[in-house]
Amino acid sequence: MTTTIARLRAADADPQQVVEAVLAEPAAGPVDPFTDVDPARARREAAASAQALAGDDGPVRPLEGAPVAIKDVVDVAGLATRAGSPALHRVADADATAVARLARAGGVVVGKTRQTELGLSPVGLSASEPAPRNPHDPARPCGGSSSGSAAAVAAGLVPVAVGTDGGGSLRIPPALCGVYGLKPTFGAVPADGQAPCGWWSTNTVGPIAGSVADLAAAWAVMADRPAVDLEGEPGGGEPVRVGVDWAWWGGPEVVEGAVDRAARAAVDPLGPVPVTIGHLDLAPSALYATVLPEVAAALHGPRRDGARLGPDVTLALAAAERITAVDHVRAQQVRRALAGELARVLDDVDVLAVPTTPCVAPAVEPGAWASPPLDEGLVRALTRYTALANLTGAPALAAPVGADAAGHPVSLQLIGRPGGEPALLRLAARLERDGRIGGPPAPHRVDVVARAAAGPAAGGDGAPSPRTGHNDPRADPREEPGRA
Amino acid sequence: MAARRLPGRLVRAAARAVDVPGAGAVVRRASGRLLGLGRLRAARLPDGLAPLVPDQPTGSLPHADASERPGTRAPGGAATPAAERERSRRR
Repeated sequence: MTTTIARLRAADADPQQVVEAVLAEPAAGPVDPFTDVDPARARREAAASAQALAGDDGPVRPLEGAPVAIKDVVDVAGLATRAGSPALHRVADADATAVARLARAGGVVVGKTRQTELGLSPVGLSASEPAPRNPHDPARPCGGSSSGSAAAVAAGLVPVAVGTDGGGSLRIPPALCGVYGLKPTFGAVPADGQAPCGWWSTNTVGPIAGSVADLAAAWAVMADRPAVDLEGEPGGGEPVRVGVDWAWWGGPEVVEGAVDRAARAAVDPLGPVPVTIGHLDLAPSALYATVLPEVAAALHGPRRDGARLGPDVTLALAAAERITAVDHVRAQQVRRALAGELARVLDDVDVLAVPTTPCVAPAVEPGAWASPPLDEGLVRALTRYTALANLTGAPALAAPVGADAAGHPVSLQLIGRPGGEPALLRLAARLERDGRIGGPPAPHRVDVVARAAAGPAAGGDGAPSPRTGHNDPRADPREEPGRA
Repeated sequence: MAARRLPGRLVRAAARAVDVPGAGAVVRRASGRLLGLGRLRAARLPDGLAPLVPDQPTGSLPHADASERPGTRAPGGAATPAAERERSRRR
């Protein structure tokens, strides 16, 4: 199994050279996934990893020397936490627990990645700051909201990145960028240390990675769980029973032909069992009637600074005011009904399979990068298959399953029982070994392992890249004076 | 799709109009289909509310090894009749 972390070890790559390869060009051409980099911390942690690898002090830590990137909304000590919004800004005085666990496991924290404002857009465009470009096609967005984290992995800058998922953000961007994402069970990874922007009842912190092995290693560290034995049989020796709700999957009016074909090609050899999940048609409305009031409540009162919010966020908050208390409670009733339906179905099958998104990364007009449209149809489409896991708390894994004729990635989603991440990861590992999941590398990909192996990188002077970080003139057009 | 898409310049105009009296129609047009509240309000739903997932101390899932076995637990933590059947079958 080829993984970046394994390649780092096999190539005997010096973590310091790997970090220098990342810091030499963190933008990776047009992709530009980082909003901030912290060269001093990255070099300090890489030096510690180099020392650990050179010594004989017991077992190597699971992520020793592996560069990791963190979504803007999650705290990294000394860096600004903004959730992609100029309305929220504070410099974190400590790492979020999930970040601290990655660092304690040997991860080298490189910096913060771009996201859509307050995590609201699943498309990957933002009116408030530059959006990263898709490494498979820079004319298209990465999906949201963990856009930069997925882009950083797809661009080869980091083997692992941290994202959050309140409506699909650990699955939609990995799907559109051709990498892996895992939305853990609600509560399985500590959610402390995040910007105060709501999403309280659906949001989870989790990993995005370039392979199942890297995804599993990061998940185990973030959830403080034992390493997953990926060689183990996912069904404990019994055939894995994969359920598909074909009505939910939908026909050509819902799912693009290339997505349908690629996802079916991965699922069909598993002999999918037809299942029916009730109330799925209410899932998108229940999601919006749950999370929009939470976002509005988080920004209520002194925290709300409407003049500093992007127009799409302003409209979303105005829409939230139309959601009544009764609507909100009914949404929770839908969640209860869906949880019951999912439990009933997962008594008969081990896992549900469905495309992660019904479309590949969408084409957008050039002007949309600075002034995104409000495309209701696209928003509903992108969250069609992801809302269920958020509403029920179930874990879900997004895996690439090839690409369309133009090379835009397609993704399959596997949904399991609460607490069933190891089973999902073992099934994904088996499918990866069998060649049923995986995808082509992105054209705009930097092989930092090869660069590190080739020798010292240029530009390691300790200064942030002029295209990223606090020095980026495009980072925030409404920047307040004095931002560090 | 075009009828369900508000171009960026109109998004900006609508956002500016949010605080203007009588601008509610703009927001309704922009958000009504997205939220789908009419469907939510008309749906027949089961009575009551319940916890969605088993209690989980943050960062620790003491029963996860059991729950990853097929059919062992349902949200709420109870073993279901189907789970019991499955356990018997696998024995």
